[in-house]
Amino acid sequence: MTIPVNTAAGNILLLSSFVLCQLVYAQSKTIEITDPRPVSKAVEQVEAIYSWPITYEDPLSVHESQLQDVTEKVQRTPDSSHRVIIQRGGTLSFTYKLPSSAPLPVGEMSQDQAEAETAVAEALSSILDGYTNSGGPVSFTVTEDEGVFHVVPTNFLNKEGRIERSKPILDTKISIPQKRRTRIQLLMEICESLSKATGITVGAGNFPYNGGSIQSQSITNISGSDVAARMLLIQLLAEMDATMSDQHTSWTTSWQLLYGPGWGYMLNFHHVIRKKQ
Amino acid sequence: MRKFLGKLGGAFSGPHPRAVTLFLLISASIFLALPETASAQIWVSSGFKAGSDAQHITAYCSTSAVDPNDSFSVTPAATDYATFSAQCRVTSSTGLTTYIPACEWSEVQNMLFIPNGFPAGTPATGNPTGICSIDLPVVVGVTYKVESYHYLSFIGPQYPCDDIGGSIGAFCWPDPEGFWAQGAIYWTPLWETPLPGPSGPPLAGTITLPAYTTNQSSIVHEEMGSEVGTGTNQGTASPYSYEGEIWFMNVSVLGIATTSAMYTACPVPTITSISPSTWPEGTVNVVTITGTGFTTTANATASCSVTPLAVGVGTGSVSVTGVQVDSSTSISFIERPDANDPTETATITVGASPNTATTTAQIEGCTLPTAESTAFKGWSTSDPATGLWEQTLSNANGDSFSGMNVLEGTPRTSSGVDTCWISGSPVNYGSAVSGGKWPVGDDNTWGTDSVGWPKYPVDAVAYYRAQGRAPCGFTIYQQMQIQCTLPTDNTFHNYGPVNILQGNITATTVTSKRAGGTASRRY
Repeated sequence: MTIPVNTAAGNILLLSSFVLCQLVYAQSKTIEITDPRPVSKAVEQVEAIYSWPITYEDPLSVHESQLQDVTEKVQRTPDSSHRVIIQRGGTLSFTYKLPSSAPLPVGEMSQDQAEAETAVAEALSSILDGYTNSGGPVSFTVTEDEGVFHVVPTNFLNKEGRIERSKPILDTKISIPQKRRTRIQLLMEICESLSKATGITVGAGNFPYNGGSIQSQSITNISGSDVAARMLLIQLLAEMDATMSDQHTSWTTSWQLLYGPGWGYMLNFHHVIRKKQ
Repeated sequence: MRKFLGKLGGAFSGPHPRAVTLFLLISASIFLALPETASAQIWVSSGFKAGSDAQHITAYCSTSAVDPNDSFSVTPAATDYATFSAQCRVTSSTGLTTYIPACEWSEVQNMLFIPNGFPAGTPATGNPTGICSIDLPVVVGVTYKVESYHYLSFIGPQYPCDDIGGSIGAFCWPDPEGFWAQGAIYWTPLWETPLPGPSGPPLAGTITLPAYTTNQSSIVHEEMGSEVGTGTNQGTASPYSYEGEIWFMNVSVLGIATTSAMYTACPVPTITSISPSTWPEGTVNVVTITGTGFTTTANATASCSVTPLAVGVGTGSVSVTGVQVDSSTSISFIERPDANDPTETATITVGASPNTATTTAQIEGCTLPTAESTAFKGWSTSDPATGLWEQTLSNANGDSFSGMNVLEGTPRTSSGVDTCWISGSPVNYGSAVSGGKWPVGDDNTWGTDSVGWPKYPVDAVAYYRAQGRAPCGFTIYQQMQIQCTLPTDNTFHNYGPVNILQGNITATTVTSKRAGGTASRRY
């Protein structure tokens, strides 16, 4: 989803089921977000503002306090036998520094990399603080690996309503045997292995790359034994991104691993494209 | 025979200032009452124009009652005078003087008091225009000067002046629409052989004619004292006026102006080479043209300007800056074809018409397809709700695009719609293409392009049906690009229109659409 960034102070945008409220300060902005996945939506914003790849992983949402029934709101074909359940979500606000040439066009970097990296890290910290301050029941943490930030949950609210420590799904160790396979086949095997290892279905939501294209159909030799699924995924995407990047643009594939109550996780991929300087 | 309605003034045989003054006052009142006469004008010009071919230039002189800016506008002067005449000569910087034969004037025989007279020749006279010209060879470095005299002759016939109260033995000519405050009883040219003019000291009444340096027409107002001398010292001219008519005694020919103009033959440029002669699109190049006959700033003159340069192309455009004539054998400039220029020929022209030289350069642009057909190739085996589409590229030239890469992108101006999506969905809103990149095969085909919903291991169709969202679907916009394979350009260029891609879900079917193609199945 594309969310317009509005620079007018105090302007309130009603978009779908979430609300964006931005207050303009001299060198920073504060944004308020209401969404079933407020952290995910805020991360999406920061990623777009800075053109910096940030992945996100949903926590498990299984306790009734975290869920809401939106059947009547969304069903076009009434089916009382099936209820549409989504995360209850909430509201958070966070602050980020204005990029040096704000607003940055998506796909362009016009400020020093290190400065931007620091700004992204600060914005992500503000998001997590905002989530905690809004009464968010679970915790997230931010890690960084080779210039890509990962926002992952560290616990979840179990069915009994108790906080339970958890590790991110993509930290689950899996094994992918050595084999000649297409990249898309490797992605499917990663998802399948993750599903088996966690007992939670993990699939591809928005397909990462077009089914017949170079980057998805090329042969890959990536494999691993008892390694974190995230590392395999990063290797795979790096290989695919290299196919897309050239001397003019840098393509980085980012993802959101979103949980659908009753359905499991779906990997949704998107590109973060930067012009090279 | 003109019927005179009355007389004014008496007979006199010589200058009579008081009578003249009285005559002028009365005539002036008539003049003011006839504004159309007052505005009558005569155009005099001499100069140079394009010759019979590139190797010649034409010198000309003209006296006319026709407005040069409006060939249908003939002033009343045309009815006032019998003829408009011009006489010119051309002097070369080599010392040679050429008299234009067509300008030799036979009416000189009508002039009195001019010793020897002028030799008869082809009259350069006419009404409303008297014009003559001559072709001259263009010789590089040689300057020509054309000098002209412009005359009028009055309407005949002549009358003995004593018939109208003038001098006995003299003859008078009428000037019915106006008058000149001329003081000359003869013209003033003093050219020598072969057109011997009057010699000796100027006679009383000789006036200085207005002189123009021009390559265009200059206006001589048919108005006393305004352009033609001072109007004083009428000499022996004895005008008489009857009902607004003015009579000039003894002279039927009146000099009214002189003109002159210069022409320097410019060097004729030639081109021997151009470097570089291949201009890749979107790149800046300093180009040098080598040849001869280029005119530098230092060598430029009023009639021979710095050698100009122009670049022409067909469908594209090339910016040209910094044109500099470095020497008589070298011109340099900076060119930059547009980033999306096609392969085509650029024509470079140096010099000004008719002396130009041309050469060509090749603009090297991307070979782009202009059309793309789409064919359904079945359904994905791993994702049964996803249609597979194969495309064939083409353009008018039937070019091959084999080995090039095509890339899909989302146009900035179009955002897609996903009516299946709900807030909180684990499947992201589908508003953009995923960003596929394909090689083009030997037969100009590429693909397949997958349009639809993923299944494995989570079935998006089943998910949205379970949410009660069907019928629903996504509509996204796709701009295809192809990668240039030039040494200087490997960027992607848009081709073809924006494609509409759709994946629709009903309770029992799925549909895949791409660029006008549609495929449906039960699912």
